[in-house]
Amino acid sequence: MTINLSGLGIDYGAILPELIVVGTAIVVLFLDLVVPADRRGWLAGVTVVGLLAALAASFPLWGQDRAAFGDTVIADSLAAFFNVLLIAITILTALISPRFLRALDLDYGEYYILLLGATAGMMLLAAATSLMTIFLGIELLSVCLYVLSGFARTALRSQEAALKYLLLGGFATGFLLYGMALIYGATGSTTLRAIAAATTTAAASNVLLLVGIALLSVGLAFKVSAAPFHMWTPDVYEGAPTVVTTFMSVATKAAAFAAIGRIFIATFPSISSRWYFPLALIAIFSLFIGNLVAITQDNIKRMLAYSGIAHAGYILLGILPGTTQGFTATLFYIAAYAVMNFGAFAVVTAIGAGGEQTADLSYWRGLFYRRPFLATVMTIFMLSLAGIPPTVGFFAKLFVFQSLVTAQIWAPLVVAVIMTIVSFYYYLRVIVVMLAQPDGAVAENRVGFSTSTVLGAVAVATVFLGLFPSVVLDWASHAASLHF
Amino acid sequence: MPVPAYTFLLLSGAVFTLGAIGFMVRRNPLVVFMCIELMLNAVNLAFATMSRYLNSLDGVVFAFLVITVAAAEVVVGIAIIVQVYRAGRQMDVDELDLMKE
Repeated sequence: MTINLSGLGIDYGAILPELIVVGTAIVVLFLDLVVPADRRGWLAGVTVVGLLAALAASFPLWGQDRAAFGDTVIADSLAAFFNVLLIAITILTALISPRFLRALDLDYGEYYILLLGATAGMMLLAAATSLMTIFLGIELLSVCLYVLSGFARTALRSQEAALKYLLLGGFATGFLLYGMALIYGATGSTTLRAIAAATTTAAASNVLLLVGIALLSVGLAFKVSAAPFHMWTPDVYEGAPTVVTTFMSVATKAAAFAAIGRIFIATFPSISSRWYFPLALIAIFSLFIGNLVAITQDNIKRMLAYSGIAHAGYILLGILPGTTQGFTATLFYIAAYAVMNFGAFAVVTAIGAGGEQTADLSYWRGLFYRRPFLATVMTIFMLSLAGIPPTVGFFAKLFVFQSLVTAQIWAPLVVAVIMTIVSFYYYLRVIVVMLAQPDGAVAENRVGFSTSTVLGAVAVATVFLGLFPSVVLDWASHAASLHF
Repeated sequence: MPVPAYTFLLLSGAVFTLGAIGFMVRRNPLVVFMCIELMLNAVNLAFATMSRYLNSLDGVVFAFLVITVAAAEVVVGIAIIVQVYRAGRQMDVDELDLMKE
């Protein structure tokens, strides 16, 4: 007796990077049993090696258009773009982790397993072309991040962050799934390709479909922490161990925006008149709340959390035109945000190894005199987040604004420009505080070789991409040509 | 016995709404978590209804996927709730307010 497997679309090559990441997680799981407690740094090494292999396996996917497993995942340039971005973020996170974890007495092997699991979920989400794989990717990354946020088991703040993230995340998953159920009911399929085929211009009056898309958007907006679904962000970012915040603030947002692009731009272009307005509203809301509340924050982790909400708004602006140019700007912004925000949080991580209260802005007073290197790179990241040339953040905003002008979308553009000027205040305030005279001597710990290398490399990348943005822009424009 | 599909969808919508309301008004994290499960069950009912109505298997497969993933989420969720209780002996979500703006 034989079973015919052709037609199922089994193609392991298309998900090879994901498989390698999951495989690395399993290897680390077993190594954790035999590696002595004082040698857990090796696990970070194994993690980085596995991720490098996954990175190498991602490059061949570039330029392909390979749907696999019954149209549930696809290996294309967009997936490859996000694979490279997400793996790079995870490698950098793994490199700055050991010192921070040791300082906080959290040096357990499970950390790397969960980190790899979350990365695999994000990569799956970026490659997902079916409601099922989108759900699976989101849950895989979320469940790993719930545990990672509560990784500091004795710190009540970390536990509180984990609980809030878990409950609000589960709530958002409920909405996401109900939306998926309604979309399935309206179109009769769960793959995005079939949904796109079933969604004609006439579907613009299909209530079931529209409510489904609305609920799905709520779930996705939660993941990218766009207002008004952002309530969890400041608490979770503040309470979670800083190195976890570093990772999730950039990686989750990137992966979720890949799914948003595939859903709105590739699947529902024919009813763009229906989703344009709610999405524009969410973007404007995020810009307002993120930038205005960030001004009042004295805790640098909370400030960066609100700044992250604002940046979610800018990234969403690139989706609004529904064009390849707009999505190119979105992808460039995601890459730029990943670089500069990772850097900013990594500085907080490097300083945070010193204890709990280091995230208070008062601790940063006079940092230029105490830690010239950290203060210098932090200045670069702050300037970039504010969007001041010659940093990558300037071009990120420029390209998004450009795509809005081309599409003649004026109201969100005006809000974005005004809010950018508002944002100068709280980014530059950090620099001013660091330049102020220090009050007194504070106990210092050294940064360490791998952390300072990572920080230096990210700072160089921030400036380099600000001088030569076309490198990433070419990749982004190639990856952004989405269609079904 | 033919039953119109919308009755099941109405039931599913009602259960989902109850879960969402429960999520917002209840204080005990365990009960709040149960309300999330209620919402997911409403989703499963909707998927099963659609699947039967459309005569396609995708919806039922999706419902099983939801059940499996929800089980994984419960494992992690209960562990976190127990850990919060151990760390702070606090069983009221309104009093978890170490971090305020």
